[in-house]
Amino acid sequence: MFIRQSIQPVSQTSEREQFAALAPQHLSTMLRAAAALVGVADAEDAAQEALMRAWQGWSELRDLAALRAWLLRITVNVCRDWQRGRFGTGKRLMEPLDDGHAADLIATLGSDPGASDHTAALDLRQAVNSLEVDYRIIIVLRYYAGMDASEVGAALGIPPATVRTRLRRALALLRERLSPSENQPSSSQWEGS
Amino acid sequence: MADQNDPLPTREPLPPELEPLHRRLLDDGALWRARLPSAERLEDRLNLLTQQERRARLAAPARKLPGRFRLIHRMKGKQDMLRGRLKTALAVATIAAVVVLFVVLFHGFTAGRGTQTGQPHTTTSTASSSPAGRSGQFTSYAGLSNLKGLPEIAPGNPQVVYLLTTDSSGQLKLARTENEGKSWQDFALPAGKASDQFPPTFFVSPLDAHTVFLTVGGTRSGSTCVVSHTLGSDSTLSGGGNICALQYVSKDGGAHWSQVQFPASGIVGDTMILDEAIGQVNENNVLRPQGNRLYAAFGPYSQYNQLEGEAGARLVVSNDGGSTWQFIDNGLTGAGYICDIAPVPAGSTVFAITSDITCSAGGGESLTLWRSDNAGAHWSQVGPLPGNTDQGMVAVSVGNGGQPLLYINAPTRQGGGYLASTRPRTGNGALVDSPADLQVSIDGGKTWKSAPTQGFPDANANPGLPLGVLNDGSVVFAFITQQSGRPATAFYAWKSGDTSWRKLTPGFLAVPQSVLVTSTGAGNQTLWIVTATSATTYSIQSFQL
Repeated sequence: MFIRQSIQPVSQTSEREQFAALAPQHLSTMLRAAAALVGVADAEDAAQEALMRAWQGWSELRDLAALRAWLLRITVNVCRDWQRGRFGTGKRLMEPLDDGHAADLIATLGSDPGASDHTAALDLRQAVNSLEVDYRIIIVLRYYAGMDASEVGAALGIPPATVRTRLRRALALLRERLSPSENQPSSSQWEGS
Repeated sequence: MADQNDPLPTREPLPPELEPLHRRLLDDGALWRARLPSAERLEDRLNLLTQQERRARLAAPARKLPGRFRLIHRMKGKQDMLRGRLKTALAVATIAAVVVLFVVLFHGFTAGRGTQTGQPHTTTSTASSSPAGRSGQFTSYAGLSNLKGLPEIAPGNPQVVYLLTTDSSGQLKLARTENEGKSWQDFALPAGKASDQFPPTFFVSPLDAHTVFLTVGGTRSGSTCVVSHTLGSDSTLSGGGNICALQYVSKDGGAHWSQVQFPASGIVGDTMILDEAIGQVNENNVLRPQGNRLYAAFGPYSQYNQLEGEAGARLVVSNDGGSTWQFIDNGLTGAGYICDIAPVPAGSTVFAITSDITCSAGGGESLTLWRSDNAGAHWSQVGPLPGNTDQGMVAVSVGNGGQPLLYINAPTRQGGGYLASTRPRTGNGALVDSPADLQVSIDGGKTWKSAPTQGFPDANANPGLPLGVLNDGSVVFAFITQQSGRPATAFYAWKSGDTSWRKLTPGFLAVPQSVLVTSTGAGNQTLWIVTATSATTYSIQSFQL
């Protein structure tokens, strides 16, 4: 959900000061998204670049309620550019992204630390890496960047319903590739829906 | 600073068999995130940035650097980025002079050579003398450059270009030009705001350059789709599980609007919904014309009370230019997912594709071709298609009672997205598509023949969506590659019977946002290419074939 309720009303402060006050609330999510998309090593730089773009385009944001989605979208766009050597442009028509780019997009998942069962995690992450890019990016943003469907949709410019459709499809593909190991129970408690 | 949206929501409307994997990914993701560095250093960088900005404002009036300077600035290196901003601001005048001099000299150089140089934004910096520019090179238009919004070119008349943008007060408006951007006429929208979670989108009818469709996202309340209105004070549209949309049509170029009438709740497909199948990402493909008819995919509401994409797509037709629509998928809806529709441009024959599982993900499904010779009133099964993933189908008239040519890009995939093992691999080991996955049928889809790989720049490349059809029946595709470390696009064409692909353009050093192929009565054919020039601006270029 978007954090409309957390946005402070516009005060006497300048636009720039407003940016400085509001942007920090979203840095963690921006950093996580960047780490999932370009890797931990480049995440801070990519997130900073996204901040720079947001800073420069701040006057174009008309509704503070859309701030979080706006920042995440910029972050995703920056990360895509980042993978193209930083000077690429948007890629709407030609998605899915070319395979070289797609593999790089989250290849860092496999080598990043963070799994208690490293081998199992690598299997899982390799399976994620083998997905088509449209599915990979949904999985990465949803589970590794920790964004919900609305945020993923806002970041990618697609509605949450489409995110959920792709998520279901991506999970089905992952399950097929991991079978039968994907049925191993998890340590966490599923809340269910 | 803590992120206010933590913790991660764990609820998803997933089938039970996917829940274990969902939990496993939640766990692995949480572990992965736990080892990430905190955002403190990023916050420090933000503070440094804002402090420097304040100092700069005290020293001199603040100026927003043009994008070109930002790029130059980035090349100095990450560590110097923040410190360099002040220096860059002071050096703006000098750099601007150098850049202007460079552009002038380079423009003169390219104009003198009369050939495309691979730098489309420098080939022609002023409006061309002809609507489509000069043959053999990419042409830019001063009035269609750095547009603040994604433009759509009217397929039926490329002189007409629309733009959804905001005015000085932040109100969303539709702007239209018919003179290469020299002047624009603005129109208010019937609904929708720039601040909506999914801001309005639009597309132009291929039948009439002044018929425009507007899609406005909203929130479902009972059986009603509530959208925001420009003059309203609301803005409670937060999306989530009850997203819906309404569509409006204007038949006078944006001056007057009426709500489109559908046989059920939903909208015809654009990128809002049918992202996997019909329409996909090129909004020029939303409406498929045939004489005075318009065909489209229709996205109804799903069992989750949401607009659903591929899984629920249906087919509709309009005989009044898009004001009202009727279902034409009787007999198809029980055949699985409806993946694609390809009307023959003349007559009333239309082809459709269904799949028993999914349309484009692969995974062992089979695709079935259907044919109707009465505009969708009745369908008959033609047979299976050669591949199992639909990446675009187009039908080409051949005239005088001959069977239409059918082209389909239908790679064979296995294992849910993997291509067949006989396919070549890229450098990183991924199995990829190939031009040979493009198939043609000259007998109405009964038999199929692969396109050749000869003449294509990379036999492993996926030609992607068919972008359009040339006068000689060739189908146009784009191929994304790297050129000097930058993404580049090459446009190629092929037609049934040819032994080799034909290169249409020099390398285009950008990845298009959309591409349109147009043809005039005099036989002139033009590629229209929309590219992003920054995160928020777009430009149109053309290439006369």
